Amino acid sequence: MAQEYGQWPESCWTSADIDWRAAKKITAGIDIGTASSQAAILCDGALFGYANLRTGANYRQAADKAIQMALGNSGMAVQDIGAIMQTGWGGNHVACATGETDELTCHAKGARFLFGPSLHTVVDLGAQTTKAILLYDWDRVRDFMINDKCATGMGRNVEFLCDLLQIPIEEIGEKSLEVPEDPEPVSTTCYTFADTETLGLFGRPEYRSEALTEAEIYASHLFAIAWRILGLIGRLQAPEVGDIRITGDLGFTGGLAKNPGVTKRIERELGVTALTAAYDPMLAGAIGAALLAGEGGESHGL
Amino acid sequence: MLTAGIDIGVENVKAVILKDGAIVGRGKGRSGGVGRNAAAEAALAGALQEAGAASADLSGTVATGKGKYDLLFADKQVTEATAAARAAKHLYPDATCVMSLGADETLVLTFNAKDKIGQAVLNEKCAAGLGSFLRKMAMLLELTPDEMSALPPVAPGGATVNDGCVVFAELDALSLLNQSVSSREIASALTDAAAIRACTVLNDITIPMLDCVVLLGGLTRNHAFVQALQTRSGVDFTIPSEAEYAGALGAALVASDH
Repeated sequence: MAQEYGQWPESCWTSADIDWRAAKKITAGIDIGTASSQAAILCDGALFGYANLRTGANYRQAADKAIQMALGNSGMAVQDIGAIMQTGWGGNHVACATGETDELTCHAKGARFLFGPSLHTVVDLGAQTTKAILLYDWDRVRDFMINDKCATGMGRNVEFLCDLLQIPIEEIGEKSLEVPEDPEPVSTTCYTFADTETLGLFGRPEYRSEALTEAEIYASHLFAIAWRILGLIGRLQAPEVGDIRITGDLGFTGGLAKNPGVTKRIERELGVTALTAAYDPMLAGAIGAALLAGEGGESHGL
Repeated sequence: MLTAGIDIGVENVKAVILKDGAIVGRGKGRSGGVGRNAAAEAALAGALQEAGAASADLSGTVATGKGKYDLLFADKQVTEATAAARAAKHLYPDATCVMSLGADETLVLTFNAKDKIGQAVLNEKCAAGLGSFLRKMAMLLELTPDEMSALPPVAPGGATVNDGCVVFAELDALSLLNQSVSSREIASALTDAAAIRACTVLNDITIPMLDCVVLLGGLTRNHAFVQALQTRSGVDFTIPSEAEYAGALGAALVASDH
């Protein structure tokens, strides 16, 4: 089989240091996204295990696999987990779940866990949706913006575009930054337009009035994605504070958070440096769900 | 006389070696971004090997397809419409209309009384990448190309997805997946939606042209899609065995003109 350029690596980890049998409270969160699924297990509020995998076409199967991967060979069984909260697009398919909650609250909580208490703006760059979330000083959503329907699927489309262009998905971001100056972004309307324009940018210089290098073509595409996310961030409102940039630090979550071609451009345009995640930034939803499971409550964040 | 035609598409690169009007060699490979030239070279080498010829034997090489200007070794470039028209007329002298279904472009053209291109209609920008979209959805639903091709038609009252916009169609497919609708039923719905989308290009041709409509392009390998297209359009298409290589064939025919 041909190399799958758009495939990112799955991962899992289970703590060797934490004695889960001694833990007073064990909770888990499972986040079933359209492209990726995560499970996170917390022992007394500390991360004990996680898994991050591609969802595929069977949400139930993905959920089972995620929780098993997070349990690893720790000896812990699903029955040992006190509460399991499910969230995400497919967050109603998890057989072992004891509750479900909304994605925004999960992301807010999970992002605070990943980035620390100074975090005030979460930018979730998912496969289908992009969200900008503004938080209060405490773990509560102050305002949020989600992409409009036409702009859906941008993250997933990066996977597919990498496959078409035969550039590994882990490299396209770094490569796109090798430009002296960003070129004009491709269409910012929808991924069909963006793809058509990006594919049309290739060609020998002698046939084009404005020849772009390989790096500039990637830059053109990723800048377009960053640009639409900037629009979301810009529409966040916090009347008491005014400009959201002064409310505090920013963190990226989701798959595209690992693409510096998108994140560095957002940071540059906002004039900020984003916080660094303590764990895989794709885990925000699952960790948030596990934290909410520990509080014993359903959603209360909006 | 030996000539080569190379069709550099968005998904695949196809090469054909033509000898006195007959295909004597074919080559195919994945396309790409900056790697298009290398992919074309590899496809051409494969075709030459099948023909038992060397590149020095070629009296001309013509390129077509979206990446036609990426090629470093072509003598000339022709548009996809010209290549499709040449190939269709070569295979079926009675052809009145050609529909070409690629990964990126959907093209329909008719012939005038002089057997030249009369009208040509290309998909609108919103409907670009129809072939690629079906492959993307097959990946989402974890179905192989063969499974996509063997799908049953949409059942009456079965699942449907948006047939105007692929972004919306993808969302609809994800919603159906969330409702535990089977991958195959969703794929049938997506295939049907793509066929409806392709029909809009066909409907833009105003001259009567239904006598002999030749269907070309890589999407013809997807039988379920062709079936849906025939049902939705009411046109009985003529599909040559060379359908996928038609662009390359047309280019090779242009190369043999000189």
